[in-house]
Amino acid sequence: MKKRLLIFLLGVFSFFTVSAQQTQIKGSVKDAVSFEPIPDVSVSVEGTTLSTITNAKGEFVFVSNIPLGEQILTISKIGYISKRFPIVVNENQTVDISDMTLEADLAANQDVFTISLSDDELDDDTSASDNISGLLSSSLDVFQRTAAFEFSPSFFRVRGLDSENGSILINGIEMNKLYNGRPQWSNWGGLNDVVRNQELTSGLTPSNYNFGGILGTTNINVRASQARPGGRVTYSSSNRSYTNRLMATYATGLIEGGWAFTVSIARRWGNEGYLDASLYDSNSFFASIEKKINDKHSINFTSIYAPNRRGKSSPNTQEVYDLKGIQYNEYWGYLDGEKKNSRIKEVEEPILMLNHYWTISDKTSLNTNVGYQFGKLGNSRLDYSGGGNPSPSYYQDLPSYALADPDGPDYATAYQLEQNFLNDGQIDWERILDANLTNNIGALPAAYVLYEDRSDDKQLTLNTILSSELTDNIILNASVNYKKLKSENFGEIIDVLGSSTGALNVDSFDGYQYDNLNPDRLVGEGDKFRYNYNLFADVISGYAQGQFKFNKIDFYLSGSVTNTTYQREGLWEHSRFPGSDSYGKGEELTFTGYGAKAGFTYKITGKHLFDVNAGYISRAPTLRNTFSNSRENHNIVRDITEEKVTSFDASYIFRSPIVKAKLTGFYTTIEDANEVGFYYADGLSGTEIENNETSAFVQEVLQGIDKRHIGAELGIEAQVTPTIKLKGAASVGQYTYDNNPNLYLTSSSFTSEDGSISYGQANLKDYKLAGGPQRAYSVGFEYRDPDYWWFGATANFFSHTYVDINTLTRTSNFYLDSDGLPFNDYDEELANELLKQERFDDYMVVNLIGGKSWKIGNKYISLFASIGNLLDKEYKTGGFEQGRLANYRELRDDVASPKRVFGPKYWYGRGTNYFVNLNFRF
Amino acid sequence: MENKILSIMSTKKLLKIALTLIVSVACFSCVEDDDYVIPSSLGNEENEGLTAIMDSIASGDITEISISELVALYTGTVTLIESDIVVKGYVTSSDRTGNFYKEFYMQDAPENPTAAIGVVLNQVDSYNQFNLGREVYIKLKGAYLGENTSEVVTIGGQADGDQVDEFTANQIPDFIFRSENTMEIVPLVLNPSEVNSSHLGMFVTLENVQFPMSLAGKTFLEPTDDFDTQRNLVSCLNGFEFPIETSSFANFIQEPLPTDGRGTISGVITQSYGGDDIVMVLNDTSDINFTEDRCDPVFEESFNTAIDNTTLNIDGWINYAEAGSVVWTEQVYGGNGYAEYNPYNSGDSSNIGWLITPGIDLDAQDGEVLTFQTEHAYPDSGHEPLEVFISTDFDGTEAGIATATWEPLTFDVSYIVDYDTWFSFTDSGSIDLSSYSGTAYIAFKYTGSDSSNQNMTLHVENVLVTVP
Repeated sequence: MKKRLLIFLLGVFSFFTVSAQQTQIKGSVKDAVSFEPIPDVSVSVEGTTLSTITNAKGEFVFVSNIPLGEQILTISKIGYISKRFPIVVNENQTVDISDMTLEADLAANQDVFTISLSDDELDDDTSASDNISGLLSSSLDVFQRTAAFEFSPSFFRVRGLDSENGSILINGIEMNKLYNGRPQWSNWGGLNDVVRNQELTSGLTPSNYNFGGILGTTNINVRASQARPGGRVTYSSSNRSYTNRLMATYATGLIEGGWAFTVSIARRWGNEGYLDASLYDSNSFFASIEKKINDKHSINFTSIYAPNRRGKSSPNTQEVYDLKGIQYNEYWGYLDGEKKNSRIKEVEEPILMLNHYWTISDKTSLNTNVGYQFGKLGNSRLDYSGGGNPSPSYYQDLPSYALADPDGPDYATAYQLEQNFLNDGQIDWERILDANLTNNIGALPAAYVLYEDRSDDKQLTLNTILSSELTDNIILNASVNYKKLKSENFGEIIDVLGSSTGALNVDSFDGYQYDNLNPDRLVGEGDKFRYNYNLFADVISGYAQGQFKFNKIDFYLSGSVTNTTYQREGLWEHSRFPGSDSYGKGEELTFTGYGAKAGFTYKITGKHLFDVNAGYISRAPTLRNTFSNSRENHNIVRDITEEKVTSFDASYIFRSPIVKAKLTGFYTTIEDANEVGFYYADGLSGTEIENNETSAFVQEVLQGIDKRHIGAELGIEAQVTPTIKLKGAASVGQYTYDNNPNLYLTSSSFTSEDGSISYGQANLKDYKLAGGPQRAYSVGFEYRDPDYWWFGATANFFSHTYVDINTLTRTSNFYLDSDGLPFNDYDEELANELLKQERFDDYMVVNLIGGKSWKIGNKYISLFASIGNLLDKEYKTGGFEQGRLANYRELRDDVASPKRVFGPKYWYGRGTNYFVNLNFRF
Repeated sequence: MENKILSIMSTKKLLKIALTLIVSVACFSCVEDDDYVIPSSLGNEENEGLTAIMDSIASGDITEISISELVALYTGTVTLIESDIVVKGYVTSSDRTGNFYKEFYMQDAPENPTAAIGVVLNQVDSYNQFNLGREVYIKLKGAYLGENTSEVVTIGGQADGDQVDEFTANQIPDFIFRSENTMEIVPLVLNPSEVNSSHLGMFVTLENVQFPMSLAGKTFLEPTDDFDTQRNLVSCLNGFEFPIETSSFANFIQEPLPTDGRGTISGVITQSYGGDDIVMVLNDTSDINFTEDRCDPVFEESFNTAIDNTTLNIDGWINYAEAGSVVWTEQVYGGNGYAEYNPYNSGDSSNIGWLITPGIDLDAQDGEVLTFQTEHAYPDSGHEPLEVFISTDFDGTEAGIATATWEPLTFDVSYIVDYDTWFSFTDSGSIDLSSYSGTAYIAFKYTGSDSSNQNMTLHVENVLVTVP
């Protein structure tokens, strides 16, 4: 104990040299408090390319290419404070520095920051955000950390790419969903204590676990034997998403009999986050058991269960924000004095996994995994098939509608509407219940019901991962994977809202039977509603990779093959698409994808390095982008083919004891992508719409999209004094459509046989891709006081954020009248003006963080607080043009009216917000 | 799962902490639950509003007037009502199917109404609030009385030129109040020919009607119509035609018209846009009960396939000149086809022209009645050219005309009923054929010549044999 304390206080270490035949550096790293070995610590010799990680016993060794003389050894691991040790290397001698210690980063700032972000943003698919910070938060790279922690509240995307381009693995099992390629972060939300053990490879850099996407691979290691022993209790308070969070974790580490156990539980809750009525209700449970059978075999069983419910929030037009402020959310209303949100996302997808670790030899290991995930994903919403649109910001209820009166602005009505919206402007639950009670009198079907769009997945994953050091210079990685998914998709009524009759399972818009074999069925709570089908997917993949490490150059080659099959099974026959168009099993689709990548790191000197990577991946489109209208029929996106991703990047890395910097240029293209979206379109041309209407609820299919992502990233940090570090990061990119893809719409309201209308090319080339700022800059500092308190501040600048364009207006539909001829009043100059893509205002966000730690005996208490957006800057993070105004005349008239009725809808970032975290560790 | 692991682990500390936490988490923090219990306060506000009205009526502060009194107040221009009056009615229409839009009608009693009125309001799907049969009170002070776009007397919240405009969404709770009563509306049963403007806004059942077979296969909406489609019903009683009007926004516009039977149909009597025609508008197609067999003619010839000024040559018909050169011709005037016989300018000294129907099976049904229409021009005093015969032994050939037995039928003819008026079709009256059996032929025989007083022009139209 004394020794431990001494080591802790003075940070000293013991090292001595002994004579030996060869020059080598070896040692071990232990926890400064528990004195337990720490695995996976990065150990490197500064100014050289020598680096390695410690093994399970916390040991490492360098045997080749060792520079002689005075050197500095750096040891670092996430969650610990990095240390640098001066050593002297003599030829043919061994430097043995055993029992170096690492102190847990008492402030645990990085953990906490990760936690606050991943809770807040990662699973927030209610907004347009597709957050990548989870992919990067474990990075040590200053640029990536800045992107994760400072840029992500602005929905910044690294290189403008979606998270489907990065893989998240837990114990080697991929967690990205086959439906959209993205990880469902909330599946392990709240379990921050046990998922902190992450191994990140960014970009195309080779991973030891899989081939990965072009944004890299993060493997979360939840093996019980590798969890840091001890307990931890954390309480947090915030006004961002949840109000309260309580987490508790205990890990035994490897104990007698070769057992190891980790358990973690957490609860996050709150009636309202920053946005109105954005409730949060989440419980998380985790348990992992590992049995070390002998030196060669270990088996680990993990179960993760994190059910959670979140109230969603709406994007709004500028008119609405101007009237109600940026915290406004249209999805809720008061019922019996309580705020009720009509749109709740509920995720309940437990994960079970069994992992076998087989150390075949010192050099070779084989890791075999079985994972099974099942459960439900639900998004609730109001169905109003027998009532008026319940949206309080329905366009006819806003002042702009009266101002846009064709007979000239109706100021009196506009004022009335404005007052009404200001004073109320929420869902009128009482009217909804009254409507159903009224309908009960005549035994009529419910006017409104609350139902849930459900995706109940069952996915089995099997894989085996081989890692072998063939020689001192060559590492071979390979794996084989199999995934099998059955996804049950259906609507389900969760509340009939007072109706005693139930809802009619018929499309109220055009009278089609959702379930033609059971026509005109009345459905009640727990019954399926609107659609009911299964999706099946089978994915078999393999990869092989060689990593070669030499004195001046490291390089790698990696290749993969993936076979993907999809099939839809309609459980209901849709009367618009009778028989085999919608019912039973549809066509089985097969995609074959290949991946190849290679790269090298060239070390000019230890200070100056070049890193170059290039890769090509062809991959199956996601399920989401494969079926053009899966709720109604078997139709597949026309001319569907594999997406092709080509990526190239080159970096210059500078490393000195004070300054670390990395400058990267990148160029990525994505070809043959598809996008399927849906909305209510108004102003359609074409004679193939029922009853000669010009509006319909449509699925929009953009097919054969090419995109180009080009830009540069810079990260720089300087330890100017032992206590002060300056940080800077910048990302300057241009992310654009690179061709004019074909666009067609499908709808049950279209009279053509397959229910589609082609609009030819959408002239998208050189339009900017939406999704966060394309340029972001950050400067900041950290002050770290020797008395265990610290604070930091950053100023972050964002620019070149663009609205998501309504692609239909970029087709000929825009200028063609319903007879297929151009509008006779078409003014090209004005049209150009109307179609100009909106660029949002540039903005700056200032964030503060600070914390303090105390040590009491061998226990720690740490307090951490952060304030986001200190200056309360209002800024748009994203937005999209509404699909309503599909042609020139409508758009022209709307833009010309005093206030736009169908202006774009936006998301705003949070105003000033806080997060406080109190942590107790033992 | 947690418990199992916990029990395996004997670490006291862990147990203590974990249990404390589980308990504390369970005790904490109820997040908005997701049940939708109907609050006991639901409707209180509206009830209070109605109670206040009833109290005011009782105290004499407000006067309740009847719908007929209110309708009588309408002077032909939109008027702001300034007196403290209230009117009560029972909702007769429903916009559930989209056939009504932002309006409803109400009548003064659930049964045997004497007056009805329209209400226009800026609310879609108002059926789920002001439901069929609901007792509704409307405070009239500050409301407008006028006509809606169909020129039916209507209450609204604003004036729009010479019409009354909707109550705004904000006005509705201040003017329109529901009581708790929803009554069964017993429809007023009428024959189509009895419907008149006094029935506007009432819920009416038309009896013994059907859609003509010419509409078989058609839907409620004619695809070429922009807004509304009128489909004529025909009365089996007297052939009277009455339009059913359907909005292009109704959700049943794609349903085929029920032409496989006759019976009753119930809907709201109103007028077409602009007030041109009195029509019936359906709340729902379930108000059509065509469960009886059709009342189609045993035989029907409308001559609507006629080609103007050609010799009549309709399949199965015999067109025979017994004397002279003149035969029956097909004529079309104003889109209407008919048969004509006109010996004028033939130069013949004698004209006898037979027009004989195809054989009509009189055994397949009982109680047949023959009707047709005639009109004439250039009347000749004393000239009665038309005879109508029936034969059940005619062999269907021109040669057989002379040998068949032709029994004369008694009927009304235009030149007798209204001698001086030209060109006005006159009903023959019902001619009872029930005493005949077998295959019957009806013959129209013109006798005259091209000499003055013997050559009036005669038209025959709509030859019908029906079972009324």
